[in-house]
Amino acid sequence: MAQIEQGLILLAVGMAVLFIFMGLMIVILHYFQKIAARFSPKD
Amino acid sequence: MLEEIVRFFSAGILSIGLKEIAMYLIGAALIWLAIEKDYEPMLLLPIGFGAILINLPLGTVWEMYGEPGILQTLFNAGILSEVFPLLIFIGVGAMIDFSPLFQRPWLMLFGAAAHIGIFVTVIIAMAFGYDLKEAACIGVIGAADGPTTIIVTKQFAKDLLGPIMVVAYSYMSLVPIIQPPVIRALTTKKERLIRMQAVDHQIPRSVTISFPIIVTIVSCLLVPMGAPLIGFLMFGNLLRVCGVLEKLSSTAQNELANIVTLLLGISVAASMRADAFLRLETLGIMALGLIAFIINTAGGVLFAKLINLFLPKTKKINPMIGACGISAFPMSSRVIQKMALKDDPHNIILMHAVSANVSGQLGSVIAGGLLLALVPLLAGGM
Repeated sequence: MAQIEQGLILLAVGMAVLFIFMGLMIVILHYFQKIAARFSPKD
Repeated sequence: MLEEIVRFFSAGILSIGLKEIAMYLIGAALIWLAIEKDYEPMLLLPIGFGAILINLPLGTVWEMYGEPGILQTLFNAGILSEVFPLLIFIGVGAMIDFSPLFQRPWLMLFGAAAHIGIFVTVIIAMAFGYDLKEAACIGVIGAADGPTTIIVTKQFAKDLLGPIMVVAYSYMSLVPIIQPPVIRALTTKKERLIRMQAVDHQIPRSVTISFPIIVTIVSCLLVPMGAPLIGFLMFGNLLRVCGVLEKLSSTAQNELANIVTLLLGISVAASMRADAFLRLETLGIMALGLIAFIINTAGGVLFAKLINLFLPKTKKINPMIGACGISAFPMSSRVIQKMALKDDPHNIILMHAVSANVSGQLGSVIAGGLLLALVPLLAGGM
């Protein structure tokens, strides 16, 4: 039972961190692209 | 004297048992799969030949006159030290083009969703009696990421390195066989026919150059244990995108990746000695590895279907894209595009699939880092 509990903690924390990382990267990429586009030289 | 000479020459023959012969057959089967079926030949052929080599009489390639043999030297220097898998990551990083992902960053979510199988399989493996560390090594097979699998297994269950590596690389090559039936079982034809809008806007160069640096810093803030994995992957990518190191980028993608792959394959085979490989446990690893792969594929597809519930009719996602959230790049995206074309010869979803696929590469590395960090914490509390 304790082992299953460990597995469940691993599942919950693992998936949470994965989604947090991907979410953070989406936000960073979104705003970074906007900022970079504003400062990049125009044709 | 004559007796000693006879004993010397018969020692090799007498040391061969049924187990060794079985390993020769397994090695031959891997070589056959590599040559005839073209299943990951760059890895399965060296692994297959190495499996024969390591089980030759008296195991002289492993140890001779009490000194380490060539395979033991390569194994210690390349696998146990983690040098080979990390060098491979430089090559992989240099091969990956993240620009499709910059057009559609939200597809990164699939790189997370399609890794649920790793953690679910850990629970299943523990229910079958494996301890947490062994279960983590088996679960990570589902990530379809060889170097990450090696590093996690080397850390937690060195004894299982042989079977886990062979299973992991075999399943990676079987993506075209494993994924389609899972996807078809979970989607309707109507869903598979969904077309996705093409996005094409200019990506500033500063974004492509900053991306590997930002990913490295952000991921290591969250999972410091993953620093070697993500760091080397992103270093390779920086070589590619910086635009001033064409030669190094090309070397990383070709010469470095090829040389290390060659050495990696034959070194991994060093852990395929008959006694360690021919166990009931190997069959269990094969079954659980397959389960991990299937759950990962299903996780991505079901997550796409979940998102579709909240999207307007015109913006629905083709759920097959979700299956590309695994690390098997670019094989998985090719398989999904092929499936899409089978149902509708004009449905081009390749760039969306590639975007999910490259985020799957990131996801598998983060998942590996998470296992390296969390498993000792949880195991310590046992």
